[in-house]
Amino acid sequence: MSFEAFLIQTGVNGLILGALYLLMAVGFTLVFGSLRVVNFAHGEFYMLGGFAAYFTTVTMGLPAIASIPLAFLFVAVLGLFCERAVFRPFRGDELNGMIASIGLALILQNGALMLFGPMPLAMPPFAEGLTRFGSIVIPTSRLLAIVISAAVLAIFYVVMMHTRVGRAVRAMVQDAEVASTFGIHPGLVYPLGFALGVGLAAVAGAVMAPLFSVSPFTGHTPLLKAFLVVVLGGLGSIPGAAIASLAVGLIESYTATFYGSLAADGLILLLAVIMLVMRPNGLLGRAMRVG
Amino acid sequence: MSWTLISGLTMTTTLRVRDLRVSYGPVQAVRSISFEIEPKAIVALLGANGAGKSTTLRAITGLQRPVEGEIEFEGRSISRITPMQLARAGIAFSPEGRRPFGEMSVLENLLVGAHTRPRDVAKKLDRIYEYFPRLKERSKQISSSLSGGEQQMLAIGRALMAEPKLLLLDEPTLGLAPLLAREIMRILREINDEQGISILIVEQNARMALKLCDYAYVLASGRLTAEGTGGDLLKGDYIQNAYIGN
Ligand SMILES: Nc1ncnc2c1ncn2[C@@H]1O[C@H](COP(=O)(O)OP(=O)(O)OP(=O)(O)O)[C@@H](O)[C@H]1O
Ligand SMILES: [Mg+2]
Repeated sequence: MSFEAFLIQTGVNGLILGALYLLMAVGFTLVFGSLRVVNFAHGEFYMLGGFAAYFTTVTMGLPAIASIPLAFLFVAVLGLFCERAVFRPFRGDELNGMIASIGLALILQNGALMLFGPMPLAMPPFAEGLTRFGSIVIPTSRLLAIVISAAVLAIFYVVMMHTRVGRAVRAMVQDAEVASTFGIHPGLVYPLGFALGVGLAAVAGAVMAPLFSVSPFTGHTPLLKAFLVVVLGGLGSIPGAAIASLAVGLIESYTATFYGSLAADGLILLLAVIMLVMRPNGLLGRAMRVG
Repeated sequence: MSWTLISGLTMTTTLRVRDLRVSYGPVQAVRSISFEIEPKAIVALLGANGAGKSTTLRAITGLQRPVEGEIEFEGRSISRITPMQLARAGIAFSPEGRRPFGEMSVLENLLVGAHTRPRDVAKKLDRIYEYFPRLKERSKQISSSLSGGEQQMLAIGRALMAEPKLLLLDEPTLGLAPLLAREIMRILREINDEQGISILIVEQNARMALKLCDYAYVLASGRLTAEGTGGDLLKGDYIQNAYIGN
């Protein structure tokens, strides 16, 4: 492989990481915006999305592309139950809601450990072969991961920005009391926001499952990176999150390739600390902005 | 009270509040007040800081559960209404401080107003843009970037999008320049004339509200201390007493 091709391959990997982090950060932000709770279990929904993809493709033999909507659906429904059972009792109580989410994370992770065991499972790629753009060659499976992530984010964006339901969710996030006087039910919007948010984590899990592996412990890193992206991009700012995700993904990929993953993680944490000191609301964030 | 028209048709009172009492824990904000709004009327609820005006509106909207009392809208009890049922029942609320959905555009705010009645949105928008041409010019703009007056127009427009029969307005002229305040009052009169929407307007700006309204009630420390037509109250010294007496 030429050095140039090597650089491009590293960039593609960075974009994949960026897409993963963006899916995680957007869902995380949506859950925070609608429930006002920092969801420490968000990474576990990513992990469950991976298992859902594994069972639909490997065990049930469905086409790989079907695993993504199915993982979304399965985890979104599970999210509805979790919202009802775990988060609703703590509505308006941010601290205890957060503690409950840590409890939920432990339950989900250990539940997965009991059911599926600790061994990482390998999943076949979405597609075989290579895709060529002139002299640039990219594995088709990696290209698909980027395209699918972008498509899901685009659908999510359109739903949130241009549909009645999306508007209702955003109105509730911005002023629950006023939104309620216009007939928007918090009892519908909160579960919906949570289900959509963790559903996006599941999509990330399903898209990444063939590239990484599936195990009960895979949720940690994406959650941590979602945190960092939110810190860098500004909580609630979707454009900020997009820029931060791609930046973190690319920085991580190049730094890890040349200096090792320890250096990459260190550098990104350093950036987050600098951002917190220089611009506590992040790149594009204003205090508590969601939309 | 219901009046019998010449045709023999009976029109029920739009809003009837009886012996309403509202507390925040130990704080008694409204202590047994009663008042009425006849169909198509503009009624003002006046009073100084902390008199209990906003609390009264919050009780009508279901945002604050009354301790006691009966609230009827068009003959049906709404004492136990939830805010979510308000718009469908035919009541729209423009809250104190205007409270636009700050991260949404003007147009999106208006669309949220129509959440329960999404039909004929284009027609409704046209009508609101006729009242408030400024909103049309700024329809794509993020609402938090509007001036106070524009935000007030937006709050009224958003409420109108719900096609209410009764419009509740909490201090729509607060912080506005007198000229702009008068303009808002004029448009409220127009809305009332053209669409027959009843209006309950809460104001500290008594003189302006009295000129607008058909009937007014004066609230002081949670009690009604005076009532009468706008003209009568403007002549009398009720207003002075209510404001200075407390
Ligand atoms: N959330 C609350 N908790 C406790 N007390 C409250 C609350 N809201 C209002 N009050 C008290 O209730 C009383 C009536 O308040 P309210 O807001 O209804 O007055 P207002 O007439 O609307 O005044 P303003 O003209 O300043 O808006 C005041 O004494 C106020 O301090
Ligand atoms: Mg008030």
